[in-house]
Amino acid sequence: MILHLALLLLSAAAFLALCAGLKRYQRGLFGRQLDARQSRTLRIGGWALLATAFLFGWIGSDFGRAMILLAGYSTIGALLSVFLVTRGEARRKEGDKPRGSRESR
Amino acid sequence: MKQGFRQSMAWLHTWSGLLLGWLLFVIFACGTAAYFQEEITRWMQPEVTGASDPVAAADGAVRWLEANAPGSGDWYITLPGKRAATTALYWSPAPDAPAGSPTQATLDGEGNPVAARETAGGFFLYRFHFDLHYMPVLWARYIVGIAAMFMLVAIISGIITHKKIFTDFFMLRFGKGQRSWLDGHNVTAVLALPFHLMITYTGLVTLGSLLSPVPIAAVYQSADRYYADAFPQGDTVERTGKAAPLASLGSMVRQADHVWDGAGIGYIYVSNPGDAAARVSITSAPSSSLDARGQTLEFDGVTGRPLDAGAPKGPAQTTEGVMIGLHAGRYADSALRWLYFISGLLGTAMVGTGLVLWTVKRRLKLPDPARPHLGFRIVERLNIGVIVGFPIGLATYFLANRLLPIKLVERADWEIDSLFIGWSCAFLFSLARSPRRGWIELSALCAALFLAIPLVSALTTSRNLPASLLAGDWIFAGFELTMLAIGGMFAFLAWKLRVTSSLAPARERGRRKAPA
Repeated sequence: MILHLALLLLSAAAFLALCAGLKRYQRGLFGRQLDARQSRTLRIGGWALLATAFLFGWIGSDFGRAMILLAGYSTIGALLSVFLVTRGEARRKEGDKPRGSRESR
Repeated sequence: MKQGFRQSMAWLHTWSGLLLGWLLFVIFACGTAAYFQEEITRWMQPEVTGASDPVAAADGAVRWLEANAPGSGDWYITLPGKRAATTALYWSPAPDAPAGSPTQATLDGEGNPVAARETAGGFFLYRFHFDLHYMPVLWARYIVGIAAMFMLVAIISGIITHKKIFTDFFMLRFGKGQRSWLDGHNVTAVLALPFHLMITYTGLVTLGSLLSPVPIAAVYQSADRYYADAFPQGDTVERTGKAAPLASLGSMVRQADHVWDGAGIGYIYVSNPGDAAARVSITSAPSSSLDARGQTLEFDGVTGRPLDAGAPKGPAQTTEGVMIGLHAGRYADSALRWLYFISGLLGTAMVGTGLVLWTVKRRLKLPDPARPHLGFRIVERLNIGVIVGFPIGLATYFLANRLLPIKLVERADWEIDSLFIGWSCAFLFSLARSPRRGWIELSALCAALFLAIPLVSALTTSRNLPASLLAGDWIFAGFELTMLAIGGMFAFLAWKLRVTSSLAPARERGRRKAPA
């Protein structure tokens, strides 16, 4: 159970970092664009977290299952990231709208 | 003008996805449900409770078969495991048995016939996934195989078509019409891409000998010789005609389980039971390894001693077994099984959103969107009839399990018929309504049916969701919570479609006024 929880958290963190490292999603997540160095650090961190998740899976089970677990938890991690980005983007757009237009909805 | 490579791939992706898309939707939906086929069967037989000891179950099965299937030449016994609570028995009838005599039975852990309702259970959804229904199995498997090939082509051409696969990876925009459907299709496809590729390719491997018969025909003179080589069952031993009691099957089960370090027992094959030439083959539980074929130990049926192990499996056989294991996911524990299930749902959504996208994209280009051409109308109605209609059929199947009279003759067949009746009614309803109304009303009906399942179950059986939750019965609670979640999802869809469709005329008016 601990293995599954660790893989879920690591994969979710990895995909959030990879997502945050892409300029396109930074406004949705942070409300501003990060500089190139910060973006690169996030992308490297994301890949490192994915590699760590795979190592965890390998140590906790075996090579084959680690591959399968990583594929599965990556999907969940990426889904969580999509959810957060979409929410963040929607909130940002809502915040950008003039007050009157929000009330009229 | 000559088309570019990416445009050709886009064309291929569109048409390979559309032509058998409705069948693929059904295959994906049933395959996804089949990851929990044992749990579904347990929910559909609420009378069966508790877990069973495989050793006691094996001895109980022998007692029952000796009394009820005398003279039979072969017994097949599937023991209860971590997920199933019953023992399934199949046997070949004795030469002097009257025609139509039974050849299968379900027992409880003590070897008594299960006093439970007759049901097609989760097993039907599993078989429907590749055998379809109301048609010869061989035809169905060819059709499903061709659909899987189309799917593989659609996935690969889709990857090539998708220019910004990494930058668009997390992009999901709501309320933007065609763009939203495209985002939904991309997200469901890309996030679970390793699963989609794996499941489609390994699905083709499961039908390999059927879809690719030429290599077999080139090497073997008959299909029987191929199967004897590919799936050896040990030496065929002729019946001696000399009666000899079968040694304790429970003891053989214990020995095999010890050899496999407690991996568990899958199924048992007994040839010549009650004869001096009796043989017992025990195969490990599917959950014991990635290889779906598992390991097999053979015993002398009279002495109960293990016999020499046959030749070890070759690399090709192991590869095939692992690929089938990956596809079926029988090795998976609960958490991994849920990952399979979620990925399967994403696959089903990917096919569904792709089908809807076809109409959304083309509607904008129609000369008169209010009067689309026949091809467009067929696709639109098929979309409603399958994407919402098939889940309605599934909900009807589960409700039929609770509502059909317990003693109904051929009850399991009636459950299956209920699925198709529910699905057909949804189809007919969609033809009678405008597409916009059809989507909304059928989504709402689908939501109501799924949400009704736990309620109807509580009213018609001694089990209910709160009690299951309190008792920690996660098979029952998990099934009913999943039904509520699916119902909630369709309710949200119905609400969202209603809101969108009520805003659409205003938007249309706005668009018309804008140029002026």
